[in-house]
Amino acid sequence: MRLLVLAGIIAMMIVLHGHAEASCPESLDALSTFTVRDVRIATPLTLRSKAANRLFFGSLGHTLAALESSLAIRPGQPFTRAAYDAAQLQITNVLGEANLRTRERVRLTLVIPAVEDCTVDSVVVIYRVYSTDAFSYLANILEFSPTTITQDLVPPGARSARGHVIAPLLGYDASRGLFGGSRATVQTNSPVFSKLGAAFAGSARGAAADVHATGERDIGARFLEHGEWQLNYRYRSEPIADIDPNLRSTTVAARFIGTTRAATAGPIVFRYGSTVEAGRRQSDLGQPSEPYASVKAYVGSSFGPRTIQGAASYGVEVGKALHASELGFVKHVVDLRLTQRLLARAHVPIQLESAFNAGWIQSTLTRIPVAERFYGGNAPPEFVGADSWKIQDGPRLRSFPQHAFNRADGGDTFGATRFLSGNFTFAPTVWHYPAVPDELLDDPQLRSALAFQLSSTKEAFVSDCAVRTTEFNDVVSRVGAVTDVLRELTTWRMHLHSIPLPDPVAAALADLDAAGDTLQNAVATVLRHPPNAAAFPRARLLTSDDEDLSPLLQAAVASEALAGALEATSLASEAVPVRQSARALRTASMSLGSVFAPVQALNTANPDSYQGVVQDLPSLRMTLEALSRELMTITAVHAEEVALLFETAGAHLTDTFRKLSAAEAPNSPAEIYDDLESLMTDWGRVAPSSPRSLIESVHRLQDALVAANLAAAARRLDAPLQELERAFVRIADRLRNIRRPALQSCAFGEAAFAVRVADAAFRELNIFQLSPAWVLDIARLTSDTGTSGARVGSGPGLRLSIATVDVTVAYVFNLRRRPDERRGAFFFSLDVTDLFR
Amino acid sequence: MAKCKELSVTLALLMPDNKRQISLAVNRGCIDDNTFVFDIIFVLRDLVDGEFQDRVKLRVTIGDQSKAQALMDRGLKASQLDFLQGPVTNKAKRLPEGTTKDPATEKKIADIVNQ
Repeated sequence: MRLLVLAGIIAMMIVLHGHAEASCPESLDALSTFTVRDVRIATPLTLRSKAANRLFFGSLGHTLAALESSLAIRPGQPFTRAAYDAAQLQITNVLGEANLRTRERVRLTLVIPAVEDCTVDSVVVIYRVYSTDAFSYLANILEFSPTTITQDLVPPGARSARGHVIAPLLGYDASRGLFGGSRATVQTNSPVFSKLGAAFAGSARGAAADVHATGERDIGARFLEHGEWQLNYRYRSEPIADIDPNLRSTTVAARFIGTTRAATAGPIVFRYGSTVEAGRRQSDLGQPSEPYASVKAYVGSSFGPRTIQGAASYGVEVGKALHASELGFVKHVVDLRLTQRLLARAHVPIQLESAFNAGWIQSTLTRIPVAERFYGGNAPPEFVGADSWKIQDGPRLRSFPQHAFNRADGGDTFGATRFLSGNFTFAPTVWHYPAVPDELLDDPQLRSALAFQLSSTKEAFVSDCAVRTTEFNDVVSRVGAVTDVLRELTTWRMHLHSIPLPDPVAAALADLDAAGDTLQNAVATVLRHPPNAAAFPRARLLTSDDEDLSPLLQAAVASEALAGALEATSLASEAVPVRQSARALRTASMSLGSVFAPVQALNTANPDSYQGVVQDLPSLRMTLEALSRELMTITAVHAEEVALLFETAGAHLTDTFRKLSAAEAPNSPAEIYDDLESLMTDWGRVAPSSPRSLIESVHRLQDALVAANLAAAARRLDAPLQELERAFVRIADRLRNIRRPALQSCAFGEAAFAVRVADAAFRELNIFQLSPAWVLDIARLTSDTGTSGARVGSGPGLRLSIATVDVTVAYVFNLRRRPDERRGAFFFSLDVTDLFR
Repeated sequence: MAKCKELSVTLALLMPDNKRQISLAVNRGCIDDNTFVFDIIFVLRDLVDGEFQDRVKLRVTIGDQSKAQALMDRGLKASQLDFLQGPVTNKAKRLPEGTTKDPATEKKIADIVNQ
């Protein structure tokens, strides 16, 4: 039940911005005699309270709200297109300046202005702002685990500069009853522990407390991209439904979790970690309190694109009584999870979640602390106990309250030594309110703009890919030789600064200082280890023979100017080392001239490879012309939907012709590749290539024509459309069989994240989404004395999704109920769907 | 129906070294129903004392539709982005803090996108 209240408040406060139906002139040029009645900036998620807006969605919403009153277009003034556009540019400027949040690597924002609610002489102007910002924020603030007491509900508005946080906590579950508490976090400047935190929660039936010190660092190595470590003290007194004594534990733990670099070939990350812990496990269930110590090790991976995400983990724990000489038990747990999000059409996902878990303990039952045995219910224990990694430590059976599924043999023994469980949740969407209106997804110009941004993003990753090549290592080695020249340059610059200089010489020295600093920075950037993306453009400039670009040549030119200035004074002797340095700089520049070529070659396509594709382009043109002719014959376009689709198809046809013309024109080798990519590359389904967009739009136009009783016109499009599809597929296949330049292949892989983000933000993200849910669980506990048999829970529920947060409520029936068991249990879960993975 | 419709798309990226943000925005305005005007906005932001701070923000208006469309079709190439991160930003860094207009640097950016 935790955070349900919060979700409800958000749901109640959010204002849905419907699209006004009042008709306005199609052309804004026709509004020159109108007056502006109102001006608004609207985001898909807007709260009535400005304070709440800032609290939940941070400074961006606040900034936009503050901008509203200072826009160039104002209520009461005549409508002008210039003011309308200027206001849009004001908003774009603000969005361009807005900082990314902590942990936010990409933000995509779209501004669509509109005039609505037109009367005979006035209009309302609305600027709709669609941003990934609020949604990635929502995903970050909500906790993932239903069993821990942490709650990282930390809006930026509540943070001080150092990020000190105190957050309240209120929740409910069947076993604990109503519980409340608080969590405090303090950011520190310590390089070892960057965060100190404490949390407590209590209820009439139990209590929990955590104190921890956490550190993390981006290491950047292939097998250790990111490291996280924690010291943790934890106390639990957890009630068990229908049993009086609580499960009690006290634990002190030291933990490390490492993450490998994500593979470029596909989104897969490996993780590994270990925990050393000691404490007491006591239960009041017939076993005395016992000090114990254990070592846990765990490995796993998370994988898959957004539509099918999976995670697999294995953990092993070796534990013993603190003072015993022999091992007490060895516990193994396996956790497999798969989440499928099928998107048959935009904004209508079908969600299927499945999980398979198993565990076994090697020991005699009496040596295993009760709290370390296997037990479960609708909120099973966690093995790792870290927010960043969840491994289930018992069966999930949602027809039982927390920890109430705990008997293997029907007797009095609490817990078991083996378990198996499988869980399935099916939730098809039946109602949704999209973050980006469906009709916008077909806008040809929006697709074009998105393709531009995603293509530019891909190119930004070329540098990252380049600096990882062996060819670039050679460049770094050669640039290293420049350091001797730089040392000479610095020596006599310092000397000249120590003597009195006439003004012209001082001015020339100042220019050289600037050029020298630029050169020094460029060389240092290239030589930095490990290399980063900034090294690539600096190396490109250092190896350039263009005086406008090369810092080496710019320093040489400045040196020569300084030497000239010195020679014109009584300091001619000082000019000798300056001239020598200028010559050395030019020599160094020449020696670097060819060293960059092998790196450049990795980003250069072989034009001969593309000749076959280029020769096939006329066939594509013929099919386009045939389709264009048939489209021209459709004249009776009265239905609004048909007219809109007709226009959309026309725009895609124009785009395709334009890009095709660029690809057909005699080009330089580099341009052949660029133009073919521009014509044929699909940037996900959110910005498909122009021919694919054209094909999709003509199919939809045909459907609309049939619906408008214009089936004959629809049929006339069949033949040219099929020809176009064949030509497109043929050319796409040919292109696919040509290996891209190595740096381009790598950059496409790196940019896949941005494409997925854009795809999710525009095509998948709903502000609200309602789905019926069906839950099915199967679980079994086994010990040496017996087995629970396969227990089954199943029942209906409802899932409300607010942006990326899923709130699921279900009643799960205990289908093989025994006389002393409940009929079933309510199940509540609050999960974050990681759309932006 | 109007051929030109106003639209703006902004992509903000945190660079791999976590010390620089680059924001690329394309703003499409309409002089009238048939005439586009593109504004390309470039923002360079450095991590200083633990906070990202704007060094310089520049805006280039492109009135030549064919060149703007060609840029939109192809996207910015790696060499153009490198140039934005190199000579242009080096020059931008030497501008006084808070500079919003610099014709010489604006011309450099315009030259890049018009290549």
